[in-house]
Amino acid sequence: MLWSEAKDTDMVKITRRSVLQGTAAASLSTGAGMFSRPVAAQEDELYQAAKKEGRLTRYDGIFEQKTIEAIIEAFKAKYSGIDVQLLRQPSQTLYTRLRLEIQNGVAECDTLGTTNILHFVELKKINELAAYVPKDLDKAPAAFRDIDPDHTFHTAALSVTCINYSPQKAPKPPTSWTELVEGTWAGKISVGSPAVSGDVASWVVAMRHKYGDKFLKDLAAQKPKIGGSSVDTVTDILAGERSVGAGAPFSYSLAQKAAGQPIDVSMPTDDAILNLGVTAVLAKAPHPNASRLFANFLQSVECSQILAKAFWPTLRSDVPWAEGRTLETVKWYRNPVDGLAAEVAEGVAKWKEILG
Amino acid sequence: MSVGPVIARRAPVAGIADPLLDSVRLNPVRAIAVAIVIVSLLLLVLRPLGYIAYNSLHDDLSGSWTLANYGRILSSTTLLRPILNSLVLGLAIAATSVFFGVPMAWLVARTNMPAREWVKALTLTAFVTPTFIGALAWIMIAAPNSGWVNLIWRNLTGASWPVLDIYSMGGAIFVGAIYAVPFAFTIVAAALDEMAVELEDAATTLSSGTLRTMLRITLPLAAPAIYASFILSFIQGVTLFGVPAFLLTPVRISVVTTKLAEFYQAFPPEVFLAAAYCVPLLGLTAILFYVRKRLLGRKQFVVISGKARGSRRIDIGRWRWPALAISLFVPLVAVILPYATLIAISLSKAWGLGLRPDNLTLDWYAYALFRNSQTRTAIVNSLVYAGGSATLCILLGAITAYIVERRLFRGAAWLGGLASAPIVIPGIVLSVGFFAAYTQPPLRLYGTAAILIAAFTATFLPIAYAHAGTLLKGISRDLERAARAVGAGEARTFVSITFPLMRVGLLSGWLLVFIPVTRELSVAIFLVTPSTNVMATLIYNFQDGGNYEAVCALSVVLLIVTFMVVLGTRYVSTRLSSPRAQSLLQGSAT
Amino acid sequence: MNALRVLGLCMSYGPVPVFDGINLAVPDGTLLALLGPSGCGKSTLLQLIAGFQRPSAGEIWAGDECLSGPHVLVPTERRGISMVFQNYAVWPHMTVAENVAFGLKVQRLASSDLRQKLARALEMVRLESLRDRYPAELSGGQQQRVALARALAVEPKILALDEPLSNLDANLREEMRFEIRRVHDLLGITTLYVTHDQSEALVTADRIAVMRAGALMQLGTPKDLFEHPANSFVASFIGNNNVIAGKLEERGRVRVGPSSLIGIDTSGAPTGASVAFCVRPSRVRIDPEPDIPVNVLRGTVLRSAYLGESRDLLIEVDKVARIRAAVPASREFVTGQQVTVHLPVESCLIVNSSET
Repeated sequence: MLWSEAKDTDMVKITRRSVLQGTAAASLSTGAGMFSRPVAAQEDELYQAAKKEGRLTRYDGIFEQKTIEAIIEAFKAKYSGIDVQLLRQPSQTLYTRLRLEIQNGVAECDTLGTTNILHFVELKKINELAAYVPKDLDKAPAAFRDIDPDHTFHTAALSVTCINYSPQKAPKPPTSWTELVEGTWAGKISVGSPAVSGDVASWVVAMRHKYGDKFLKDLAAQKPKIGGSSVDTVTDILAGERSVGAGAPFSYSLAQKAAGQPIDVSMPTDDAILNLGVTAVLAKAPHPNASRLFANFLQSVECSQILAKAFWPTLRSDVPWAEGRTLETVKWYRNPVDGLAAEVAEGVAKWKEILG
Repeated sequence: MSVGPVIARRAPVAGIADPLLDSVRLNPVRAIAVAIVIVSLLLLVLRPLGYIAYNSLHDDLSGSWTLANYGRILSSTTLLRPILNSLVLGLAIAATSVFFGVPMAWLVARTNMPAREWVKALTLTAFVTPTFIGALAWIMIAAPNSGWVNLIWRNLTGASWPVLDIYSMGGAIFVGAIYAVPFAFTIVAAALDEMAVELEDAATTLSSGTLRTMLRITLPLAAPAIYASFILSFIQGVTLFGVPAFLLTPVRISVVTTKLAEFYQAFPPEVFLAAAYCVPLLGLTAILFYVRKRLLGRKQFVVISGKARGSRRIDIGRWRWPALAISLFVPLVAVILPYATLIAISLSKAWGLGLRPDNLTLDWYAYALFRNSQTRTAIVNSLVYAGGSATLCILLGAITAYIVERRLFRGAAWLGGLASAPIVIPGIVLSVGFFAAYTQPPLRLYGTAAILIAAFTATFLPIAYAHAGTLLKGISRDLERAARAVGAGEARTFVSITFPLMRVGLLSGWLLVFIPVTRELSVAIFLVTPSTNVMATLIYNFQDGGNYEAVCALSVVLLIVTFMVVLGTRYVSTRLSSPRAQSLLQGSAT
Repeated sequence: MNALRVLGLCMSYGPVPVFDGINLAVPDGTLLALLGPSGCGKSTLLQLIAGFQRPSAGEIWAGDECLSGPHVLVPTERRGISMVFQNYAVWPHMTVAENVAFGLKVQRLASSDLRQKLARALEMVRLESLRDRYPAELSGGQQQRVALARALAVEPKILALDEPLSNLDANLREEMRFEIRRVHDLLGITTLYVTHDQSEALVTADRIAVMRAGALMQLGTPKDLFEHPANSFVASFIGNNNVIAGKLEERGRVRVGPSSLIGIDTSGAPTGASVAFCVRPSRVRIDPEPDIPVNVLRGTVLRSAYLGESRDLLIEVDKVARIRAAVPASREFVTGQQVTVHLPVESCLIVNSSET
């Protein structure tokens, strides 16, 4: 057993040896197939140990149901004998639940994924996260490789927020944030709420960085329909209720477009906002080895291929995004993490004050 | 010479209720039953509520004792206004649901209106629908820009404004009410079913017209049922989450439940503040219960008196078809329109494209039923938990109601209060209360089916208790006394006489719990784990991810599955009753 | 041997007293009627005897067993007192046979015994042909007979009937009265019969206890009560009676308005007391032979009603009292007619006034 269940809250010491052991995996083919053939007889120890554990529990608020299910199915196909229990709920709900569990001494969750990096900053502070470097982390885009110097949490997704629109109703969609709030879009805009959605919160913070509170006031003047999650913009556009979405989910909109729905995205010239989906293994995870195996898988080629298929940006420089987009060709901006907590709180408060 | 048991010398007491000690010595069975009820209520109700109260007095950040949570609530208009909004929403929903439900119940239970079984079945279908699904469907129907009612309106009249805007308080009241009507309908119809027809005959012989009889005789006699359904609908309205979240939040109207969601989703989470925030609701509902007690007080509502006479239906002549039209209004707006919309979407490849021949598929059903293992688990779980908690609720509710109604000991009314308390706690807070109460040793139920069944039982016990109480109020004590007088003890009387007489009504009470459990979302949110997931949370997940086709397909599946159970219970009920209780059952609501 | 004794029984509901010290003894095998107007407490008394409630004070004895007392409360099911209710209380979910056999089942009799007793009970009320019917299929009278059979099947020590015939129509009532009496005589069972109908009491009972406002007015045989009522209430309650208020001039003589009337004085009241002068309408003589020295009054006919079997006259005498007289129907009188009224002394009774 490589990683025995932590009996105390001390962080597990990282040694070169343990990292090497953890990352010594059987070679994986990067062939045409989405799913690799089951791992051959000479599996690495991690898989064996994980198999002994037999299962893991993932709390995920990053991906929509179908995508996370696809990821999990691929994981199970690759590492047979390990069952995955998925709890898919909104990020904030998962975090609250996890805090309740911790408060009550319950260890149910093995690995957590949410769209709010602040969740992990807090959890790290109270020593609830385990340090682990997933295999192939070096293949991750440089900007998002070391979001935590102590490696207690990692990037699981690049959640891009942009403008979406209905091609029929808005044949000439806004091409920038400023155009959106200053243009003739009154009564036509849909937007989520920073109080509910981590992605929308990061977008609001970014807009305030760029344009101050004036942005929010201009947005309010456009009388937008305010929902909850950023996904609501897609709903409103597909329903025909609104024709343009602000702080909209890039990946999800494109996936809907690919499914034939009448929706498209417009990448703002003044930067799409990039928010990270973050994942971590919990210090008190009941199935620590399986959790680490899963962390490896999130960083794997197979996983990035699934992401690409679902129009998510990939986590590997050697796996391209769908439709030829790349991190370099998309104009993006990410909020700095320092002081983020306060800025989010302020952003939410200002939002409530100006938009109700 | 035989003398009864001798108890130590003591002054005589007033002859209303036996002193508890006397009871214990004279009647061990009764004592055990009472003890079981008390322990169950302690575990199901007092403990979680206790934790909620305890939490409300602590600070979220530091964990120390404080009254600041209450202070914040009372001093902030942004926190007080949602309470007012909830009150308005609740009262309006209650009034509307009684307004529709009572006449419908009377028409179906007492008159010869045609197609009564259809009205019953459709109203029951409305019951089965999770309210947030109803809200979603109604958004498709009546959203100001895209709702198809408005599209048709604009086409017909060329107007630029919508005829219906579902994103409004009126919209929320409407949607909340149409899904609360089934409560009023079921409860009042059950009461009217049992009513001896000569009570109305008496009025008719005094040449009171049909309408007058209904208003002056029937309705007042059904008053306990009507008040019960008013209160239930009020509470339903006040604890609604999905409807105000989807219909009111976009227009910046907050209610208590949506505010609570904010607290739970805040960073850091304000769980303790949320606990304190429910207290005003408790106060409001306590007032309602008190008012009900004063109004119903000592009036006589006995309608099953053991003087059985067959039920006769009132002939409403030329009003039959208009009555049917009125009765079908609620099923139309609660079932037919929304489900037509849901089915249309569930059959679309891409729902944004609308209903087109090239956009039709059964794939989403295939996905939901065959390719998604979560669905199968969730369906089974939903049914098992609903069945389990419904059964527990009915048993516990019936015995508690008996203890309270028959005043088995002084202060028995407190048991009734305890059994009724959870109803006013919003599901999400109860969820956290159960979490706190049953996650630590010695009672570590987190992650099991047991905690969900317990939480659901606690949530809906008030309904079962109120329903059983209404049934009991209608059973004459003489029926029980007659049994005692021929030698049956209290327990035997309850088992052979009281319970069988309640049985048919209890079956509809079972459904009154079973169905809401299958559609209950808020209670489940913090208590489900992947292996104990239920349909409502699964559907909500899909909705959260914007996958409406899956949402609609799953909702239709949920409807079908629940409906099969309902049909099953109807079958059981008719088998149970057979010729024996036809005299009791003519036109039963189940 | 007294089958039932009630000693100093008191009962109140909270602060409201119902009765205050009732004493009653019922010899074995008697049919005692508890007679009185609504609210006199007779049903409450029956409920206390049956054990449905606990008295505030006093004792109830059955034979040599104390049923209710300060330290004792024998539960209903052990008292051996079965009851027939006003609204029958026949269980709608059981057939006639099941209703009647219920008490026998509770006794856990051998099935042959049970069948025998059941058949006997049904036979006694002549319901064998209806044994498999449900109560909803029976008339009121039949349901009441079911209730009676059910009460008798268990061979109780005491049979209690609480206004059993009040809900039946007049013919049926008459028939059932005789039925109940017949059954009582057949079985020799001690019976308590609560009623507000004095003719019912007179026909069925061996003894009658007249109650009013929680107090026992008189206990005696029907003849006693009819011919020697203890006070004006009993006098007016039993049979038809003229009860005229007056002042006792001396023993045996009462002043009523300008007249002085002679009668048999059982009042024992002092001179000057208010008493009641009673004479039955059937004994009042109209326009009798002349030269009767006493109790002759002049009066005016106020009303003359033809009743078929007799004529009912209402006469105002001396402008101070109204007297009813029952005369043969063939005699004709008209309103306003002047008549002479004679009250034969031997039919006149002077009793205590029960108005305080």
